Amino acid sequence: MNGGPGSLPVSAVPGRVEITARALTALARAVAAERLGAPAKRLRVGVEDHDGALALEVTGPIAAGGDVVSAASAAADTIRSRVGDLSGRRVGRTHIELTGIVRAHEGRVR
Amino acid sequence: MSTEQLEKRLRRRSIHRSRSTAVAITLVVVALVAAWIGTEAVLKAIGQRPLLADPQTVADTALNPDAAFTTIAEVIAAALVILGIILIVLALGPGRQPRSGIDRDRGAVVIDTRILASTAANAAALAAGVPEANTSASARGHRTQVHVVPLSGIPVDTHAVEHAVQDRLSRLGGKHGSSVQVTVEQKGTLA
Repeated sequence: MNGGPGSLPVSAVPGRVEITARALTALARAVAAERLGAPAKRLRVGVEDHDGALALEVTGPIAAGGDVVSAASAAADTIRSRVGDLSGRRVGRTHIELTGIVRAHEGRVR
Repeated sequence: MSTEQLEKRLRRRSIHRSRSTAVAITLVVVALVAAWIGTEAVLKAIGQRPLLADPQTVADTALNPDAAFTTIAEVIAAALVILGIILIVLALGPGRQPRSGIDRDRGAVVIDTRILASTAANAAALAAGVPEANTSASARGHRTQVHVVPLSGIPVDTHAVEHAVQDRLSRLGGKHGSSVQVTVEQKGTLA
């Protein structure tokens, strides 16, 4: 038969693997938290469809240090490729909205 | 009649609508009119008064209508035209039922087109790697239209889906799967 979703081959066992929208959102949140260096709790992540590809919308703070804007755009690129690799879906665009800065050595920043 | 011919006939009769109702009604009307004209002819020949009206008088009145009768004549003419069109369509149209015959060695097998459509939708879902709820299909005659809503981020190969649907439908034999049209929705769903 023909190929399955993404690069996955169709196995001999009937059935299919489904990834729910909630799982995709949780995955994107974890990846964004890792790349931005911010706690996942403070990130708001939306996953939508844009012309048949995933569109990520991340709102939250970024770790302090260096050029914040270039760090954010680098994070957008890596978030996009990492989410694409992990979920097997094509990610069309990643939109990052920064709301603040977190410092690694302080427990909480308000 | 050989079994093969009988099966062919059975299959044809199952797929196409019967014209017997229209034929029966038309024949009853024609028989009534013929009987009335015959009765009037006999009554005129033996010099009796006409039963309803003299056919010659009726024809004369219809051809030279007075002012009041014109409207009634027009209504009757319009009704007859509509009836005539309906009868011509019934007589010449194929009268296909939403069913389709499939090839089998034994017996005439006829299936509903909804089964064809859901078979096509199932094959398309398997080929596109989407849940079956994301595909819909409609079948009419030998034409099948499949509509696929992709999952976000998983591109759907239209040709692969078309090929898979054709492959699945052609197993039913005959001309099934000869005309498959696949449309893919621009916007996908997340899951």
